[in-house]
Amino acid sequence: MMVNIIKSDIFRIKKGAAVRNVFLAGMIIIVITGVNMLGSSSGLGGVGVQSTASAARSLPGNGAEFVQQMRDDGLFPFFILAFAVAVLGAEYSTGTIRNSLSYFVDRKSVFFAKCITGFLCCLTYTLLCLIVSFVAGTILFGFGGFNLTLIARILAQIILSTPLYMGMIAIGNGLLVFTKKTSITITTYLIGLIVFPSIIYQIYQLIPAEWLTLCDPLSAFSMLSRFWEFPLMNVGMVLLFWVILDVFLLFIGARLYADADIA
Amino acid sequence: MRETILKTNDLVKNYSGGAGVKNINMTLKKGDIYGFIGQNGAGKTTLLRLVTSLIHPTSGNLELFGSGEEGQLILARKRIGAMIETPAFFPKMTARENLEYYRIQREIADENEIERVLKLVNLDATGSKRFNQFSLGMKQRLGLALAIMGDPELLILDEPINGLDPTGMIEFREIISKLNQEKKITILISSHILSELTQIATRYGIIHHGALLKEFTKEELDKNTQGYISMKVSSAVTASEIIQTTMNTKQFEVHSTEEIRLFDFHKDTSKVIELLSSNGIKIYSSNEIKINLEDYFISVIDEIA
Repeated sequence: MMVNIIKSDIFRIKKGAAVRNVFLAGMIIIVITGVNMLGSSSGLGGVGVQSTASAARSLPGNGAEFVQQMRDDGLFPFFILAFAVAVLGAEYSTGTIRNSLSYFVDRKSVFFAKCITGFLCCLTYTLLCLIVSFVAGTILFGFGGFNLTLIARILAQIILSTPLYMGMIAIGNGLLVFTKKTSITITTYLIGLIVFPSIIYQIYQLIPAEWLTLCDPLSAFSMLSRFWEFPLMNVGMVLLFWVILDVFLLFIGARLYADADIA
Repeated sequence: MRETILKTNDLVKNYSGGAGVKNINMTLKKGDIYGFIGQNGAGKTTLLRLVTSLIHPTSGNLELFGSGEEGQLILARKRIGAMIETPAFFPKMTARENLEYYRIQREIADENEIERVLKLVNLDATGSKRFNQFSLGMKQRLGLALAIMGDPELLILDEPINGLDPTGMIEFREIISKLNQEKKITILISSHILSELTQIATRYGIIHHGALLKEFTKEELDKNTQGYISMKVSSAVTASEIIQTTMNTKQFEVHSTEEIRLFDFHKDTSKVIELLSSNGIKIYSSNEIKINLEDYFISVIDEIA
């Protein structure tokens, strides 16, 4: 059953224009950022996807460095996640959720299938962004610096980011049950991004462990993009935090999804 | 004895706003076309949502295909096709693409199923037209196509004829009757267009303010809506005595001193008039009073109120 739900969602995503539009938007952002970096002769990048941290970085010396700088940005994953939530939220916006849930009563399975679909969306989009970054970086800054270590690190980062993606998608799906609207969900989601670090900071006041400051989604994504530069303990603890949070979020999300009334 | 397809036991759904359904006990037998009648906001859609598990009951339970156990209900619901409220589909996709999405989701192996259901609802020629370009009637028919995909044994249709033009209504009625007679599909259909329901339903349930007031068969409805002859006469009591002794029947009612109501006399009105006249009863007027489902519906509600 879960496989069929995932397959049907992939069919729908392929038919819709959302993937193409979001991919185009992501591609344009990457290219403009690259062009701005090149034009300004500094690490200061373009149109809002660059965090202050990455803006302070130096001008990429080659294509590989450009790819890495694009990976550093904590905001890009949220762009991807917002896209995944929008794709999953379409069922609520259009009301087609009624057609699905009147047939599938085992809603927990539906919830998990939707989370996996969301994760697959994130993964696909991450890979597409990598390809675009590679092409744009190579054209703008030349082909250089690409080696097995870089590729291995990028792959490891994607794998390590899985708990973050799953957790954020579970939050998105849970929010959809309440808001029933994609736009409200994404807004709530973005507000949550601001609130999350504040909560983490409050916990840090009680338990002053350094790894705690890296647990909020933005910091966690940024850290994982350069995980080899951080103490293994910190990386491990952040991942453990997210794995535990995932279990909690998936459990709560599945229950909410199963118990919710569909208007 | 026909198999029970759906049985609800004291089903209650409370909303914070107050509306919902209360203590619904209804039974749906195999082969029925059950017409669910009620005003807007009476609780029809709430009950259908409960049956399709879109919402959860506050208390009570239901049995589908003879089973009320949770695991069995999950399987039983896959034998249901439903169209709840206005059909919803992905607006940028065509009819075929929308149905293909659900065909994959529901693991229906036969790829010809989409063509079969589209043909059945006369939407097989829509081509590349997207759902958001469909008329309301086309949307309703696509909703029906989805509901009947995979040959369900129970079809639940919530206000399916809303927005259909007269031709569309006739087509819809024919499809429903065909599905019931040829495929032996049991149908639960709600509508407030009562004249349409009377043409297809075999059983009825009246819901009002969330309560199921009455269930009755088509035969019972026919009997209760057959109408009567209202005759204004010089003496209703004397007229009744003459009719009872001469015609040996009690199919009448003395409504007032000057009015007698004759039931089941539609073909024999002239005979009654002749009889009464020859016995010295003056007849001032004779009118045939017809009762339709609307009148009956209102009378049931008034009776309970």
